[in-house]
Amino acid sequence: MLNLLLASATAGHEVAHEAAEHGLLDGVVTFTIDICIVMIAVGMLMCVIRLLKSPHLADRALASDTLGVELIGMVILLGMRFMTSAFIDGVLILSLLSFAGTVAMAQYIARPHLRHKQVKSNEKLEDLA
Amino acid sequence: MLNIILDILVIAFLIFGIFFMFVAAFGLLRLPDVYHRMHAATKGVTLGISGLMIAAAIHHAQAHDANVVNIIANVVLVIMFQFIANPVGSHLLAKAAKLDNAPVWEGQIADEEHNPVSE
Repeated sequence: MLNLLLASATAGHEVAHEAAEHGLLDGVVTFTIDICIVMIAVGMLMCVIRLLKSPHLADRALASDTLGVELIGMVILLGMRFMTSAFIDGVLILSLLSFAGTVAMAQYIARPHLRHKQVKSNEKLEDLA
Repeated sequence: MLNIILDILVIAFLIFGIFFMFVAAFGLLRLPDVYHRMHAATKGVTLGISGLMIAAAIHHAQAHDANVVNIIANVVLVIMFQFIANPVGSHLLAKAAKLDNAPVWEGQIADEEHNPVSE
């Protein structure tokens, strides 16, 4: 895995050097991508702080969902930085997994109350019968 | 010339997307309440991912051996999925927090479930 990452990074740098001869603004684009990576990292740090200290379980679920989406942004930016479009394929899977986790956490939080309501309505039906 | 225009587009979409991603995380940290945080995080994250994906599509389409159809299909799928999944997940989470009596902000002025507005 590490070898694959290193190989893609070095290949990306070679491609970047080739492209630097063509484009005028490539340095500016690379600089902007670096700044964006730093800001995404700061945002992920904020999400982790909110994940660690929060008053309710729904806060933690929301923070973990936002952390997953910030991770997607980080993957996109790293793919742009390494000049490889292979990371784009993983983004869809990451967003699907993040959505599934959010739905599972919401069901986990809400399930006792839903069961309570269902039992109540069943009792009401039995009373009516 | 076309390269310069595409690079400027990439930079513009990157700044657009990163602004919304950063504001979403900042609001998640600073706002006082589950519902306020949800309001900040969901909308900001949807627009931020859209901007970053469009920037990535333009950036990758400039390469020599780019598979443009593959890239654009992935980007459109991800943006459509974000626009569908984020409201649904946020709605489910808000309903769960409401059912579980999550703590609310002290400055809240009305709870329309328990004190419905009279007509």
